[in-house]
Amino acid sequence: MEEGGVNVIDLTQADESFVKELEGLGADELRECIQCGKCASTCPMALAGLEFFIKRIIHAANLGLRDILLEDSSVWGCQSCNRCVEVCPMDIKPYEVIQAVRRAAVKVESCPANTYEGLRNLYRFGHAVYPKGYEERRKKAGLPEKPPTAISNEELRKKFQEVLRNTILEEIAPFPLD
Amino acid sequence: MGLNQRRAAYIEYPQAVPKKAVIDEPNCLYFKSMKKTGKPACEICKKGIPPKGIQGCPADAIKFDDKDEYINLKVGAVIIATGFKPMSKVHFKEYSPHCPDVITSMEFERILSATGPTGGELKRPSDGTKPKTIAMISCVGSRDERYHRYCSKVCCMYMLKHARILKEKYPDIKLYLFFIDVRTAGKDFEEFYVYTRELGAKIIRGGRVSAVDVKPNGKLRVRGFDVDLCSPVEVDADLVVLATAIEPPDGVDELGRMFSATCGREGFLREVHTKLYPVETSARGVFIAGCVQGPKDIPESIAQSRAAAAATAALIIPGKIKFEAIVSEVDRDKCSSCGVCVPLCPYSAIRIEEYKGKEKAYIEPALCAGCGVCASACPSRAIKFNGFTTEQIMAQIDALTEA
Repeated sequence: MEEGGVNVIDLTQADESFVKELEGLGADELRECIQCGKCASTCPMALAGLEFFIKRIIHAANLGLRDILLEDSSVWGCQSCNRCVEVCPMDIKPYEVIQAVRRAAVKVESCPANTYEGLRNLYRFGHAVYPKGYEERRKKAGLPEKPPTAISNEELRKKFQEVLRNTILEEIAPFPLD
Repeated sequence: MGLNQRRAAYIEYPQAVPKKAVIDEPNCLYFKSMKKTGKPACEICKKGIPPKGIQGCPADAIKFDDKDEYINLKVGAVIIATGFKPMSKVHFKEYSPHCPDVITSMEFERILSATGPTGGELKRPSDGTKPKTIAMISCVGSRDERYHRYCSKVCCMYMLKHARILKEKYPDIKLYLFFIDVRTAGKDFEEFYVYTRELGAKIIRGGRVSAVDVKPNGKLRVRGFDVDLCSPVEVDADLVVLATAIEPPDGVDELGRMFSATCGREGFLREVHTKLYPVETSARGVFIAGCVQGPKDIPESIAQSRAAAAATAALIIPGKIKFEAIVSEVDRDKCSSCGVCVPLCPYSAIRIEEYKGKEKAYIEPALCAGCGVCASACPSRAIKFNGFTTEQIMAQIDALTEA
């Protein structure tokens, strides 16, 4: 975005094929967005002051500004609350746009490092965020060491890993799928 | 529009009414040679070229001796519908108006038209190549204190129309539409806007373009602001289309004066009341329709012209006119014939005419609007303003002060 100290976005770099790619990745209503801003007024990302909040992401996506969107990590800050989807008057499903941008980013390995950690955790333990260091406290409270989820169910986890290996993860995972 | 050349005998445009050919006298070889040598150098349109088997006008409709003429008509009412004038691009130095690839929307309309100078083919005026990136700029001369404060109303929609035509015909063209904001009030207009977005036209809002610069490679760099991106933006375009303002036509102020119809501050003819008398002017029997009253689109112009036609019919068909009771009247025995009242009347209702062998003022009650200017100005107190005579006003004051 910044080039030679001048803060101008050059639309000449806009790429229509990126818009088409996003449409294919689930953001199929993207172009209908009229930038009314209803999503931005409810989005926790916007309220938290993230620079690229939902409305801005959709507009950049609509213009085909691939580099700007993929270089910025804002899409990964989405909390998936789906408030935007509930309020959007044009039925754009803004959350789907975020997901589409994420999918496009993953394809070219343009995501923040911690997303890969989350992905690895998801594959290994069945949770993107793996609760560690609570074993003792759980025991004290009379609970089993591990919660009764995928973490403590070896058989289910294996099945889940098998499912994941049949997805695009097989191609893009930057860690061994063993 | 200067986009291409036409012959000296032409039909103004295919939808012209009446669709008749005319001769461009200053450029016609017949007239040129007749002026110089007295002998005709060309009469092909009339006689054809018999040796080559080319026929002249089969209807024998060519009249070289035809002259412009004034036709006097006596009418009961007039509807003024002169239309508008699109603003020229020359005023906007920041948009490089000298560049042939910076054009107005009206010129672009011609380029897109199948009967236009390029036969409907999309070409840059400078080198005839097909533009790959087009930028359109709205509000050029509108919503601008330096030129016109008003919104020209139709630009947003015709920009979207142009975008739609382009995107349907050439889906690969990159199209950037710079708006201050997009105004799509009207039946089906918002749907049209969303459909145009779906076609892939890029809408940049809050983006009044600050500059269009010609780059050494012939591209036009357009600089604006994108409020949705929260960032200044720029784009290299091959063609820039300026949606210039709708202006009142030349001479409309003079025409208005001729009919005693007043112009508003922006130069359009003024209606008596925006809501209740939208086609009437301050002059009785003079009506307005279309863009001479203010910027408007085709459906609105048609609705207004039909309203004007109905108002005209209501006035003239009965064959009688009802006078207002509140009009001024001259007591001709008191009138000193000073003539002060005549130029003062905003409705041209007062004339001097002979009465008992002397020149006296006469107020035409059909024209008088009852404003009272003449009555207050008459030095001889010879004008009685019915409904507001001195006695009546004094009686009102007495009644009010009694309590």
